[in-house]
Amino acid sequence: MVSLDAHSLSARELNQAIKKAALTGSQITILNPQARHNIAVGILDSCKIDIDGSVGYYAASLMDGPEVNIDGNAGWALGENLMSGKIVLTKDAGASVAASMRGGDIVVGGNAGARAGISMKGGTLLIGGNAGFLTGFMMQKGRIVVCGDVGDAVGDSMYEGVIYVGGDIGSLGADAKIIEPSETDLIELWGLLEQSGINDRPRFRKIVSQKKLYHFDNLERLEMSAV
Amino acid sequence: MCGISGIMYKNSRHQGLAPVGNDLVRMLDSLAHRGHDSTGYTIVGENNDGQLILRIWTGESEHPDVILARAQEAVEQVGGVVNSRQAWGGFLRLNLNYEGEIPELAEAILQTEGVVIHSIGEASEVIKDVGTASDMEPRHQVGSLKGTHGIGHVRMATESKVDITHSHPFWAYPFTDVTVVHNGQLTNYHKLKRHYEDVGGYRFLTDNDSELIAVYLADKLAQGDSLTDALRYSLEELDGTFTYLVSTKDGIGVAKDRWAAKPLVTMETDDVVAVASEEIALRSVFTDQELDRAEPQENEVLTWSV
Amino acid sequence: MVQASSQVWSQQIIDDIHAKADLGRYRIRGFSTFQKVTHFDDLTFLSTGLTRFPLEGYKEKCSTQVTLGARYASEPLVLETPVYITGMSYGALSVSAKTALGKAASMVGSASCTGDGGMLPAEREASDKLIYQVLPSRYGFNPHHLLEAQAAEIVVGQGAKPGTGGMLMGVKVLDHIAESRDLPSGIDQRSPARHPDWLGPDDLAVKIEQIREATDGRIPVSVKLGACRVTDDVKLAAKAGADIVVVDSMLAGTGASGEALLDHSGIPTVPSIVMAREALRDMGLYGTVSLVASGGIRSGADMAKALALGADACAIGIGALVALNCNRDIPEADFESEVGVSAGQCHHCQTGKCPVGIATQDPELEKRLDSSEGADRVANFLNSMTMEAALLTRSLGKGDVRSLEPEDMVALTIEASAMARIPLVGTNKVFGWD
Repeated sequence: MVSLDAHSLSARELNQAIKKAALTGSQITILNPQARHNIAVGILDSCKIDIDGSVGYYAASLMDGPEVNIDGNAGWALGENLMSGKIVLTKDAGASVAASMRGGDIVVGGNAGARAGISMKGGTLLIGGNAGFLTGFMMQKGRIVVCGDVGDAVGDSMYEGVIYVGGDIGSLGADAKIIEPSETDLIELWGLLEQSGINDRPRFRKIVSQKKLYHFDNLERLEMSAV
Repeated sequence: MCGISGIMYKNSRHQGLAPVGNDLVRMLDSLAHRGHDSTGYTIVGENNDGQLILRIWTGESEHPDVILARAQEAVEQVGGVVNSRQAWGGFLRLNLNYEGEIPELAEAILQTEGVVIHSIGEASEVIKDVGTASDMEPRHQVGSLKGTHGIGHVRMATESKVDITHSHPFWAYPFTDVTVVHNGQLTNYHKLKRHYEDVGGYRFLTDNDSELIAVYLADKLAQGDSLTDALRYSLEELDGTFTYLVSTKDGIGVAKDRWAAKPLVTMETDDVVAVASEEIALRSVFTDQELDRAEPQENEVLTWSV
Repeated sequence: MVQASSQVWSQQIIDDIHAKADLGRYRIRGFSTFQKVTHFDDLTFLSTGLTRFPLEGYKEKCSTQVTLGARYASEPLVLETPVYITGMSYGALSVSAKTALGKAASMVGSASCTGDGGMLPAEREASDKLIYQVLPSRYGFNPHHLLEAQAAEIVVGQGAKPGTGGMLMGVKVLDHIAESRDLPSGIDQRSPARHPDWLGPDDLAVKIEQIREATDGRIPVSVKLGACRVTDDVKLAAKAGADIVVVDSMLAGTGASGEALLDHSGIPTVPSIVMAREALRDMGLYGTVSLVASGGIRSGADMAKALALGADACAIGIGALVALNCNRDIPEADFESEVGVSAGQCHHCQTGKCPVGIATQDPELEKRLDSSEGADRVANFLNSMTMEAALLTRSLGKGDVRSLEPEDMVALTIEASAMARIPLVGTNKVFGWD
């Protein structure tokens, strides 16, 4: 068990201490994060990290493997480019949570800001509260689950991701459409909520791409594939 | 395109001042064929009871005495006291007491209309003029000056103007007692000059590349590097051709570039060491025919202290 | 009798409008702009005469090594020659092409750079010094790969299509490319224009710190800009903490871009270097933040001029591809029937039908490129660039390419004088700058 007091450490010292402890798969506790940026960046070994307080931008980003619990709020880009592992945030996340996420799970107990799950490429982002404007913008793969409401332009320019919304939808983004989830979808989602300690059981709506923006309407002769 | 020379009497601090001026006049006279656009000297005398020697020139002014008065006023305005003054036409020498920061004094004089600073030193002074060593002697009488060491230069102008201000030796504003004479042409001059201007605290009084060497060395010395180290760094950091001499309060240094394109020879006894672009200059002060000369190689640095 | 014709309503413009009348959207093209602009050809060096001492062309040493990114990085990037190969995506280019480029860079002690398709294992293996791009798209971005890189380059924009993201037409988005980019196969990929996690120069500062944290401050973090509002962009990049700033001019290449951007946005290389240099000087950071010039660097002479104007190094794209065989009439290729133009006229990278196997994902076409032979050709070209630059540098009496200065050149036209801020030959006047 390693306990680190962020108050007396620079970001570099903190991250290096975490990486060192992570090599042996330790359990790490970080005290007094004081909403600083870049805490627990680039940790590529499996371990457990508990952060006792709010974090700033890029917390638990560029990670592969660890399980991170944050008791507080997060700034922008929580869990950016997560490869695998799990991040659980008790309160609210700022904008761009799970940006370019590629695998693993991120759970936000409270609300998420704008552009939640932007450019996602895999994994699951679960938001217990509401999510902001442009949620799922340019999402490629993966799954976003919003228990509460979602803002305007949800799923704008999506590719193959899926967004489930439990509450109100502000407006749909370009090329997005709402379809009915299957019963299997719903059961799976409720199981996910139970695992995460969320008691709501909303009847989610499902947002996917219309796929009309996949291609230019017309191609020049040379741009066409050989038949 | 230029000729340089230097001489140091190793024991002169306790044995008494030596005829450094006379030696240098003879050496530069013998090098006059290498350049007769202008000639210049740095003579380093004894430590002047804590006084500073200020050498200035009033340009082509018709009224040097007016400008001398202004210069004196400027000195007094920053808290200096002029103890004595001498004038040779537009060339002025002031002996002063000053307890403040040299940059402040230098700046005050620089701002004075009509004044061109040639040097500020605790023991050194720069004397330079157009023409050859012989042309200069009637007016300046450098031959009568005694000291511990000195350097000299004859100039054939290459890229900057022919006039007194662009003649060597160059004093490194605002550092006392550091002067340089240079034979060669730096090819990364503009880049380095901009660096020092941008870093701040340095003023270039000319656009002559040789002045840069003086500033470069003075900067290194001010940062605590030894003269030898400063000269060594210069071999890496200056590009182009150069053989140069630097005089400080305590001695002389030589640096010869990696191309060995500019000549330098040395002669040394127990009492005296002299360096010059050509042997003929050394022979004018060393009468012992048995004594042989040495030739520094490329990328070489030499220093001597009194 | 030869008919006079309109310069403004030229045959090319007429054909263009006809094409758009059929297509109903902007046209897309690869390669480089067709605009004619002031470039390095309008600057000339003032070699030595009597005032300076020339150095022997073969025997006397001319140092060409440069170090980039020493501002904050503990392991700056050391290149044996002041040119590296810029980022071009695996996807736009074939595996053989990326491998050849990486190998060539290694052969001359320089670096290559990934591109909008992530880090290709074959490229990582071939290239000794690999710069890892962080693009708006983040296709294939992997923190493990970041640790394997010798530098990170945050791409804000590229000169060929500033203000937008990458583009790869569906004909090149085959299954393996699609998978590596987490995209549906066959899609006409238009990458995001903005980064997902930072939106302005103030957040960029935090992003740069993040990359440093992920790499323990070892590797330089570079910021690449499409040359438009150079002064402001360079200052902001420097303020945000970049170790290296790359200014990519309107002459830069691309695998595919909307023609409107390719031809009608961005500024030329010459003024972009000068503006970047002055922006850094203004902040007291010239010489601290490394400056890389790219876009239209075609030879060692161009490289020497870029350095003389103030760049610390150059990056090449098209030049390396042309050395690799782009537009070369190789025996296996039939340009006329395959792309409808003769060799030397092709700029059809976006079609994926590259007759020499470079800008294609078609395995049959890729067979026409042997990556080992290709590496030799590109290394030869890089060596020729180094030697040309050294030849010019020595003729100027300098023993180090880092000694090159603007005062080494004069301008041959008024426009070049104004853009380069150096005097017009035969005059002491710098036009347009008081």
